Amino acid sequence: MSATRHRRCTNSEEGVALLIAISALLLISVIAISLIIAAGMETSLSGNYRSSTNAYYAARAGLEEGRGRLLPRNPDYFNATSPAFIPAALTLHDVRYVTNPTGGENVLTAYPDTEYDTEFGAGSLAGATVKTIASISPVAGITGALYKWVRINPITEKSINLDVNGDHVQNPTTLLFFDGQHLNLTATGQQALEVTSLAVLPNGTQKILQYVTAPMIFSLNFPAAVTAVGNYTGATNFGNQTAGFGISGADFCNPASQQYAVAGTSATSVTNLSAKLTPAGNYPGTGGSAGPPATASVGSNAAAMQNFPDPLHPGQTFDLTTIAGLNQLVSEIQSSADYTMADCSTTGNLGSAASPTVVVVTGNCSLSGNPSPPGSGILLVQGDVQYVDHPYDGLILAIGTGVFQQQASRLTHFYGSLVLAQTVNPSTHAPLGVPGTPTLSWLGGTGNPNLQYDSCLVANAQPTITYKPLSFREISQ
Amino acid sequence: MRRRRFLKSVAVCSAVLAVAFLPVCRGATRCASNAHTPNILPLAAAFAVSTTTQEHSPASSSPANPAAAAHKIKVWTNDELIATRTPADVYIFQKEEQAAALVVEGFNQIASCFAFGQAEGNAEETQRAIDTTIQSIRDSEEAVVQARRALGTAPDNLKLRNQMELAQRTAELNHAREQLWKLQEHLQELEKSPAHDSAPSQAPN
Repeated sequence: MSATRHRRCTNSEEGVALLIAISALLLISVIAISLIIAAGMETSLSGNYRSSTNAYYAARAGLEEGRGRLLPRNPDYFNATSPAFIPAALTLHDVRYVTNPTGGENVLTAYPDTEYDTEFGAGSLAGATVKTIASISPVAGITGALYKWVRINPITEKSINLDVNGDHVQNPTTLLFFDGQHLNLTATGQQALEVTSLAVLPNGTQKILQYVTAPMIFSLNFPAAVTAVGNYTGATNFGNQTAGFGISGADFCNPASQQYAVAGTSATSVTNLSAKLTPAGNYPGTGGSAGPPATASVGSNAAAMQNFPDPLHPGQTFDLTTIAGLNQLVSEIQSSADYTMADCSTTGNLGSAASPTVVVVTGNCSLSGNPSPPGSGILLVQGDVQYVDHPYDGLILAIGTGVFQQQASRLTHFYGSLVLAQTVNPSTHAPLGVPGTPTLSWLGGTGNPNLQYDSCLVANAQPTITYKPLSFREISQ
Repeated sequence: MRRRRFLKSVAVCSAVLAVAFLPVCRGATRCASNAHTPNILPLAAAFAVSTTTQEHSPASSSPANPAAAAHKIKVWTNDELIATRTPADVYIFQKEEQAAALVVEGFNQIASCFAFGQAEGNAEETQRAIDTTIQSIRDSEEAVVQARRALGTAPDNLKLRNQMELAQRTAELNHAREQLWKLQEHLQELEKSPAHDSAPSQAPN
């Protein structure tokens, strides 16, 4: 009986192993399924992330094409491809699109821009002046970045949802400008633009990115026909004494505006220059009387030169009456130069009014002839400048030996502004402690005035060095 | 009774006023005869009406009349007239002078294009001046060509400015050509003259 019970008990334990095995198998299955699900989710997440990242960079590529082609120095500059595509100032609802279709699609209808109406109000795009230009993204038939369009337009307070002037009103019509430090509604500085890019991937992922950007101008303004830095102690006359010679501070571009014919940077310099600017009638400009002036137009712009606005760092200034300040200016021009040359023999680099350049010449520069059109832009020469005929307009900075000479008696003109500063010994080229005496010698005197201030050519010479992104955002889709 | 007294007092007052205003009316009549200003003329004429009989009688203008001789005639000098100007008058006169000066200046500028100065100097000096002027003309021609091409390629913001430059270059060229014509005329005159070698030496303008 007991044996039977024992057998029963023994029999009742049979199958436990199976249960345990089944349980273990179940557990393993659950774990395996969990792992599979987790892995699938990870795959899905990483796929989404990859798509999002691809769309982001595709849209970013569109933004950069739009921003880059706004720059006149860019070989693919919008206006070089399509003249007047971007005018000097866009008006409200001037909308420009860069289109990047795949195949024969019309991207503006396949992927309509609903964001513009969101920013400017319903129906705004329908009433806008729209121009389009092709993207340069596809190269040699190879598809480029997968953005569909890039929009460029001016902005208002309302469109960027920002109260710029703190009047608690978001103005819907006044366009915004950027003065180097702040946006404003007073048209101060350069026009701010919005660049918006839509990217659409083949899997349908979409992304819109947006910049607010404004041009940064390398601004150099010397309001005089000739600015002579340092204490002028020259023994010879500054310029030429013949009646046919002239340095004029009358703005050629705006005759109502008068500047100094010659500006010094200290009282001593002005006194010394005054004695050397003879006859006075050769130097008309502000400070002189109407008609043939009884006194030469010479004055001090020391205050402006001591607080000269840093062209690369808005809001900062440096002292251009010192060697350190002059060297800093030279350094900044070098960093923004289109070309750095040992001399001026490569005249093709000297630009033109339509395409001004920034050129640094480390040695002497000999300019002559009457090229059509004359070179134009900013020309920094660290050696002597030899000049005759009418080879250049704009801004010439002879900072180094500080010598400017007309070496042949021919009809000679220069329009713009000339800056002379001696920072090195002209013979040994050893650095000086304080600015020395610059030289302006002129052999022939025909063609009065020979050097004339011209605000238009000076302004035209200032290069746009970049379009600075003022803000960046991703617009949710 | 009261009415009669009133009429009497009116008559007395009128007589007194008439005596008091008589010299003024005489002066006004004289002014009226010389007046050029339309505003003064009617006023003076009004005064003149009341004194017509005295003024037009030959006796009153005769120097033999001791009463007329005793009356001193005020002679206005320019300085006195200027002193009577109001600030508004001064302003208007200044504006007129400035406008006239501008007109004269403009005329002189235009006239200078056609008024050729007299070239002087002997044949050798004139020939030298001709050579220099020919060189100037070549320079100016190059400058005009340059300005014209620059105008064609200029950006929109510089078109107006470049037009001004082209106009200036063209004016320089025309001036140089006129100078050359003048010098050549002078040289021809010198060559026609038998004693041209002994002409006074003076540089041409």
